[in-house]
Amino acid sequence: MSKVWDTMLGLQANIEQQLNEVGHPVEEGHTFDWPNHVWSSTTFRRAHLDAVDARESKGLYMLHVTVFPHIIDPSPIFGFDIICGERKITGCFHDFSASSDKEHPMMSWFQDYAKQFEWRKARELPDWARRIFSPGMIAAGNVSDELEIDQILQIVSTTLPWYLENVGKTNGKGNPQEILEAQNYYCNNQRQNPHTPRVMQSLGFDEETVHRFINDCLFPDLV
Amino acid sequence: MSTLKELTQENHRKAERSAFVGAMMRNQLTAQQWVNYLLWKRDLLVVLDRKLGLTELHFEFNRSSQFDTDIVATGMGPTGLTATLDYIKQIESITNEQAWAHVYVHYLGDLRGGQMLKKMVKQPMHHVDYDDATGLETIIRANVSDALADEANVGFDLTMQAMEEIML
Repeated sequence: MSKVWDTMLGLQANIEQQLNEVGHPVEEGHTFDWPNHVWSSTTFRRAHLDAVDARESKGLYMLHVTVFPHIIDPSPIFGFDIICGERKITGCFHDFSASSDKEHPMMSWFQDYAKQFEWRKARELPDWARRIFSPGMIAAGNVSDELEIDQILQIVSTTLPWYLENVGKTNGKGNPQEILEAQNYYCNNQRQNPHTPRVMQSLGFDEETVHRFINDCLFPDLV
Repeated sequence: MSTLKELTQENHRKAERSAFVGAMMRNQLTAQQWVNYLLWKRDLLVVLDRKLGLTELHFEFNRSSQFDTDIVATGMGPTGLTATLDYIKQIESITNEQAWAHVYVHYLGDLRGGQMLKKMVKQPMHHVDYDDATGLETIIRANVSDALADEANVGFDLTMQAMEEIML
């Protein structure tokens, strides 16, 4: 097995383990052909992980992780996406994206933490992304250097435990209606990302399945 | 002149005779239904606390940790309810004075009926444990009046809406 894929599978297992430790599995009844796991807890409303393992058929592996706070908590939304081939990470995006409180302490922590990674982006973002991603957003593409791959993995190994430890601490500190609208705004803009359906269709999934996945499972609106 | 209790009695009875309360008393709620109820109620009380600054008035208004203990004990993840959002919108749309009607419906409900249910329900119900129930009730009664009957009835209606959604 390639070093990159080996690392990705280890990362997926590690994230699942962390979410199993702090949350409880929720059965949402999805019937997609690839694994979709959902958790919730007293400190977060919905954590979702899906992994598309197309290593054999397409030479690609893709992992999405999101964590949404409860609607009484203005904490940011955790987002982590990675797609990789056998020898390199094709793309990696990671952010603590604002909910109703752009000055939330968790936002400041993430932006301070992200500052140390000089390579983290320097790319022009499309409108939908600029509307929701924080100034600290981490983006990387075409990473084949082993040290850099390890560094990317190290980032999420630091940020996810920290996020899970801190989300929920501001339960009751925000306006639920504003939080609801902010979380829906995030999902609405994420659904406008043209790369998600393009990548998934290139992995062999039909348009209807991809559309249903993005709308009902990956970035579903709260009512 | 009728009292707040009398003016809300019909809806109170309807709630007590709902399929949800019946299933709760017979211990027939699934773990998923129970955890969804707990989260609905927790979020509702947090929103009331935020609006009215309840925990500054009395420590017993702060129920979050007790609810969280009960939620964790289910071993389940709550899935959230549309009814929670509807209820929150209602609380956000009314005056603070009116919001006390919802404090009356929920806290007083747990101080009274909640104690009876605790004896029947097998699941842990730490969220209805109080060290100073009398102090809490005194503050609630000092802030409600018969004029809140209409809003209290809205509270019962929204509660029954949540119970129906939980039972779907």
